[in-house]
Amino acid sequence: MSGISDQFTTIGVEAVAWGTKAATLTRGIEAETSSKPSPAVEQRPSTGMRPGFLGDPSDRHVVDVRGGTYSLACDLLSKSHSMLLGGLNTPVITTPGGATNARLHTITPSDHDLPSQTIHDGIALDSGTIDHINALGAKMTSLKLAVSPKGNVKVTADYSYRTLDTAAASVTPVYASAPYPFRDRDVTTTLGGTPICQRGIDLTIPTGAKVDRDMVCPGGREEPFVLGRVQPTGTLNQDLPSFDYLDAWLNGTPLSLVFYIEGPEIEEGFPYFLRVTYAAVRFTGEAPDRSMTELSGQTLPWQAFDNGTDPLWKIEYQTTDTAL
Amino acid sequence: MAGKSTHTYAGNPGYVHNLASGVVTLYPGDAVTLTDEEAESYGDTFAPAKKQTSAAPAADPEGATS
Repeated sequence: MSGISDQFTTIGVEAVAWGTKAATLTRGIEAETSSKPSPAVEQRPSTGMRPGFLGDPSDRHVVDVRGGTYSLACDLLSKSHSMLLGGLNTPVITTPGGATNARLHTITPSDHDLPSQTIHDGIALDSGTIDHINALGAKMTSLKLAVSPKGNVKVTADYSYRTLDTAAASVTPVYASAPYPFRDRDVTTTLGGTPICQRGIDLTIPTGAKVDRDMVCPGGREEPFVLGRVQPTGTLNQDLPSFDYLDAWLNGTPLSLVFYIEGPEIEEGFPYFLRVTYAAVRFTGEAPDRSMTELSGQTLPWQAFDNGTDPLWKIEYQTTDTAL
Repeated sequence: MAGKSTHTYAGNPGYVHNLASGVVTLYPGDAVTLTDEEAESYGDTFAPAKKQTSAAPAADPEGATS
C-alpha cells in the first residue's frame, strides 16, 4: 500500500550522454515538496489570416517544449548530498590523512563541462499509487545555500533539463541512515580571517551554464556548457559593528570569506562538515540601515572575484560516503 | 519469472535499501540476494558474488602433509 507519504525525489549521474537516463537513479535526496520541474512550453499560434476563425486555429498552433527548469530544495544533510553538490562539478574524493571512515569530497568550478544528471520524482496519484517522471539531461545552473537564525541550512539546486519523461520506470530510493541535518548553530562565518555572527546568510554559486543554446536543427537545443564568466554572489547581514565594512566596500578591499558548517564527529578529529571558501570577495554595496526599534544593521552584498591563484570557490564536504 | 542472485554491497556505508527481500541497512562487503531487476537498477552499487565451484577444492599441498 502506498500513498502521499511514499513520494520521493532521487537523482543519478548520466554517464552515457546528455539526456540519457542515469543507469543508477536511486539516491534519495529528501527534497521539499516544492521541488518540481517547470517545463518550458512555447505556444506559437500561426498568425496568418484565415477566414472563419475568431480564435487561433488549433490546427495551426505549435506547441514546442524546449526542456525546462527544475528547482530542488532540501535541508543540507551530513551524508548523501555529494551527488547533489556534485551538480556543480564532479567531486574529487580523498581519504584525509589519519582517517579511517571519513572521506573529503572537494568540488571546484568547471570552466567547461558540467555533470549531467537525471532527476526522478515519485508522485502520488489520487488512487494512492506512486507514478514516476524523469527530468533527463539536468544541468545545474546554480546552487544556493541559505541560513537563518533558528533554521536549518537550506540548499536549493536549480537545474535546466533537456526533456521530461512522464512515463518513467519506477525507482526504489536509497537513503543514508542517521544523517545529521546541519543547522544555524553549526555555521561559522569567517570574513577576512575574523569570525563574525550573522542575522542571515545566503549565497549563490552559478555554474555559468549557457542553457539557451537554441539552434535551427532537429535537436533544437545544444548541450549546455560553461561559456562565460561567472559571478558568485551572496549577502551577509549583521548588526552594525563599525564602519569597517562600509569602508571596505568604498575602497574595494578584497577579503577572504569562508562558511564552515560542522556537525558531529565521524571519528576522532574528523567531523562531518561543509566548507565553502572564497579566496576574494568584494562588497557590492549597501550603507548601514538605521532603525528606531532595532539595532543598526549592515547588509553586505558581495561578489566573489578570481584572484588568479585560488579557485573562484571551493566546496569541501566531509562525510562517510566513500563515493558520490 | 525474475531470477535471484547473490551480490556483494559495494556502495556507501550505512544506506537503507528497500529490497524485495526486506528493508536492510548495508555496509560494504555485506552479501545480499537481489532480483535481476534490482541488480540492474542499482548498477555497480552491488557486485555479483563470485560463483562457488561445486567441485571440491584442489588438494592443498600444506594439508597433504597432515
